[in-house]
Amino acid sequence: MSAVFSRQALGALLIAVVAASGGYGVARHFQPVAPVIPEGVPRVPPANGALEGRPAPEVTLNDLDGKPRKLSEWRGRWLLVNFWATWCGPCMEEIPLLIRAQAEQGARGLQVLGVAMDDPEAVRKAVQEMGFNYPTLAGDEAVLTAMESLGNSLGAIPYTVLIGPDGLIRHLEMGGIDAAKLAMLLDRFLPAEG
Amino acid sequence: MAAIPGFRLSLALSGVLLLSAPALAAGGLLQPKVRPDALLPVDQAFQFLGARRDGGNLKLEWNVAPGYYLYRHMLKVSVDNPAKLSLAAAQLPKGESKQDPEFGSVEIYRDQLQASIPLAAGAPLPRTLRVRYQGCADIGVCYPPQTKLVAVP
Repeated sequence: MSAVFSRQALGALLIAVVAASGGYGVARHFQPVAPVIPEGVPRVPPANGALEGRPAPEVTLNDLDGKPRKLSEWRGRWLLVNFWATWCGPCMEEIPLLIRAQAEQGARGLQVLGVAMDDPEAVRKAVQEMGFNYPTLAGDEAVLTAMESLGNSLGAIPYTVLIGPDGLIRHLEMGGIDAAKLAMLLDRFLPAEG
Repeated sequence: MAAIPGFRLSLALSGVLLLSAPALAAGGLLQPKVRPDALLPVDQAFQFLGARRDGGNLKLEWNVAPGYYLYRHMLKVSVDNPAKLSLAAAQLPKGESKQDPEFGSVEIYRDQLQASIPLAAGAPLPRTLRVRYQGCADIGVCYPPQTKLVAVP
């Protein structure tokens, strides 16, 4: 009996797989054909890891009052520079985590700094609504240039850079950071509290 | 008699997978994943093909690389030159529905997008359009809004 059942089950599985493949094929057929990225198209590395361990370039950007601020103003702190924008869903998702990190890890020397590639008015509204507890700079082309100098030539965000108290770049991160990844990063570099 | 339950099982499994496969394909679950170390430059992720005349319409077209998508609500077309000329709203196809944790229910476009702008008969044609669009990659990064000035042929 069990051999008969096994044959039937195998048959059933085969039919199911064939049907599923057919269904998927039909579905793809009625979707537009995806463009083929030609061979040899350069895939630009999003974050230039070669910058890690090198001095952070000086970057000057305006704060939300229009005053120019330099990254070196925060020298002596562990500076976590987070590039974001209000039009970027993944960026907005990680901001509560950064607010919590600033509140809980400030005593360990952490200083989060937001850099928004956005209209200052939209940024000001988000900062107020979300209760930012860390400073935010904003701009458009100037932010793209700043990001490029910090290893991100694609302009894609979120993008986060950890700069040590000595001004050396310690870590570059393309894409969102979740709680576990952030904890691991801070535990790797920041001194224990106390 | 034992063959009948097996046949029913196969029919049921086939039915479930047959129905679920198009949903998986359409929902993007089977879309190719982009590696974070192999992100495309924005103009390759969202290849804007420009504008062309098609009868009484202007057509704007994009190729969207696999693993990337454009937001419907971020697509804006206006006349750049002559400045005072206005244009009918762009007609867009129904996009894929996406539940965005930040922005709620939004429509997105994958693979290819064609926008159509009806031209009023006898009205002067725009010489240059300003086209703005923005999109993201499935791995959770977004590209800045792009603004292109495009000549109308």
